[in-house]
Amino acid sequence: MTLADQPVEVGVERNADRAYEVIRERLVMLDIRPGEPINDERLAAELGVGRTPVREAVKRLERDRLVVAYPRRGTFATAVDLTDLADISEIRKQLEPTAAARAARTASTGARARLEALARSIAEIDDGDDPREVLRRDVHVHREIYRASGNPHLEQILITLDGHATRIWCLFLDRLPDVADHVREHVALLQAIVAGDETAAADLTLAHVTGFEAAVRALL
Amino acid sequence: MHDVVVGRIVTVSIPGLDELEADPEGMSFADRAYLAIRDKLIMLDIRPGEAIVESELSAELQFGRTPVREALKRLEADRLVVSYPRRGTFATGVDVADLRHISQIRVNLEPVAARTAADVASAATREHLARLADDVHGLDAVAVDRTELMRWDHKVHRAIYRAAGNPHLEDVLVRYYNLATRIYCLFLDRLPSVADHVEEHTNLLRAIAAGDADTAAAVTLEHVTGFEKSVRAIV
Repeated sequence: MTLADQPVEVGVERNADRAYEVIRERLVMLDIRPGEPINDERLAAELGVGRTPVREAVKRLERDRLVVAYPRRGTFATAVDLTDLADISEIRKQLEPTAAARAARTASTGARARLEALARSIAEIDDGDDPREVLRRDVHVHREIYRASGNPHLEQILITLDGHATRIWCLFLDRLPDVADHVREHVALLQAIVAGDETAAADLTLAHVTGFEAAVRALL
Repeated sequence: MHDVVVGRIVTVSIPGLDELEADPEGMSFADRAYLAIRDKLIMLDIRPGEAIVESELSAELQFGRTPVREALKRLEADRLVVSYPRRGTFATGVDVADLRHISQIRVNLEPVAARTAADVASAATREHLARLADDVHGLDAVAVDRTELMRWDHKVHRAIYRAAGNPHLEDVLVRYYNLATRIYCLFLDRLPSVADHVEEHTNLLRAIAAGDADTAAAVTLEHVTGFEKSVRAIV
């Protein structure tokens, strides 16, 4: 079901949440190109919601640095800034291993079962799969790990940063040779978390974040 | 037209405000409104979750509506207020139960900021931090009131975040500094001396200014951990 199929009268707040998720995904996957103007009215019509929830969603996206508003000129998707790569990596190298270790230590039985199923499905990713689809699954794995960390603040920061990292991925998707490999690395990580092995989870995560940065740098 | 610098403008706070603070004459009305409202939010004179009415604030603080509105926009970037279209602006919530989660983030990132600042800060920034260290060291803790001490604490932390030169890191740290400090203020009456906490900054600032990254990181870790311990001892 797409957003347009949802009933309109479910309240501004819920519509704002959904508008946020949909617009965010378009920005992260570069379906809305960097620098492209954001048109409230058109988005509202397209998503089948009012302009108020869309405006609220756009404000949240501004806090995420995915859009930028200029008085009298309008709102635009931010540029994908490659100088950000080092800055974002500096934070992720600290927080991603912390989240993975915490997930390994504290995840509930239910969360572990979800991560285990995810590991099985990720293992089946094929080199020939659509890279954008592979990337979406990568985002999904990250999000599940953040959630399993049980720290909502950590989860929120990492979702934001992963969004920026994913935009960089998307920019280079044609030139990054081994996206499927990169995402399959998560199988071992997920298994370490499920097994409660904090050290392995942290180490594998650090290697993953560092590997991403190195892969992009190699193209520059 | 929308070149690579576009993304950097959004949430980076007010360049030069730290310098302006030393010289209130040079501050715009919006700068002054920002500081006044920020103090109220951090010191919890405006309670978490409380509705913020522009006209009331502007009457109370004797500023026009426009500087107050501009100040609120900056405070929203600091995550101290949140505004919803058609519903209004509110002080963001403070949840003591979050302290553990917040500390986990700060324990990880504060030392990174101090270390990076020690490694990368420009000569001018180092000079600024060294001067700040002298100012903090010279404070007469008995004569200076709590609001003033919190302002110094704030100033030191933000100067370090800025000096690290990573706007994403700065953004996260400002946000969590604000949250942590508001939790601190919930218990201010019962906490041991705030002055000692602020004085700890002298060594930290001097380590950064001297480029001693290991000391800067170690002192910061101790500072953040000590802060959490003192609050937890009371909660």
